[in-house]
Amino acid sequence: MIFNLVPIVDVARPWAFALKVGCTALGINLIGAAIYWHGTRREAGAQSNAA
Amino acid sequence: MPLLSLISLNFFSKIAFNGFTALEQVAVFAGETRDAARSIFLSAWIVAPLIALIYILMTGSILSYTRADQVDLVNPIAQVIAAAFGGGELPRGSVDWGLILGRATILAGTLAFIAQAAVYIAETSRLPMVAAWDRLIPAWFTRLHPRYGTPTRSLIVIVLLGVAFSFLASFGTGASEAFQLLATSSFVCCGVNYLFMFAIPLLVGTRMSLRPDLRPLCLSAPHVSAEHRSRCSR
Repeated sequence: MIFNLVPIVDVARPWAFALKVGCTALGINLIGAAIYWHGTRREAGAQSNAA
Repeated sequence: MPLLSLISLNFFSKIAFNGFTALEQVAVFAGETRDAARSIFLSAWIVAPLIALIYILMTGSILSYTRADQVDLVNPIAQVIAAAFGGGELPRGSVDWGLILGRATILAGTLAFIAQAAVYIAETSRLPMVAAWDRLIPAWFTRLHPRYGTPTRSLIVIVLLGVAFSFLASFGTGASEAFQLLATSSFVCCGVNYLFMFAIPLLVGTRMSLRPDLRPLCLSAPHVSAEHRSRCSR
């Protein structure tokens, strides 16, 4: 995954490329983690209310 | 032997990742496959050597017609076909079969790419539906088409997200860089998923197993049958 931050095509700014890839991957995974955390928390709350 | 550099390691990791992953698609499509265990097992044995052969032949073909530093990494197949079939001097009035064959092959290749993209979208569109089944996201995503049984709402959302990411990636960059950005980001995201997937057995072990007889505390579980208890105690 670290190697993927190095562009294999000629890009104007390699650091910008690495930053875009890193931020995209990090952002998407953080959104996914937040959805999971929110969903499980809501489900746990619903189960405790039902009990 | 290729030179050991960050770019060659990057290439190696991409090829290895493509070669050794996609097993998660078994879980996605197994429910829609007749006799999934046998069919998928057989298909893997048939297809694996064919894929290796295709990789080797394609790489050889590309390097036969194009210098390594001039390979178009976005669409090398179209590039090698254009180089192989086009550009010859012909007598006036004769048909350039090479050009026709080349264009027909590029068209067939484009259709194959579209079919490949359709498979990816079909696979990805199932994921919001499953997340909604698990009540992680709204149940709106679980609605199926009344006739075809496809998750239409998930499909629409995934297609719109795909279009949005395509626009975002091409903002301020060329086609080659935008393609590389999308492909690399998806590789990294997929790699993170695989890390989590492999971490489950390493960190959790059999505690979360669907088979009660594999759970460590199965002897004390009230719903476990006598057969499972005896299996645990062995």
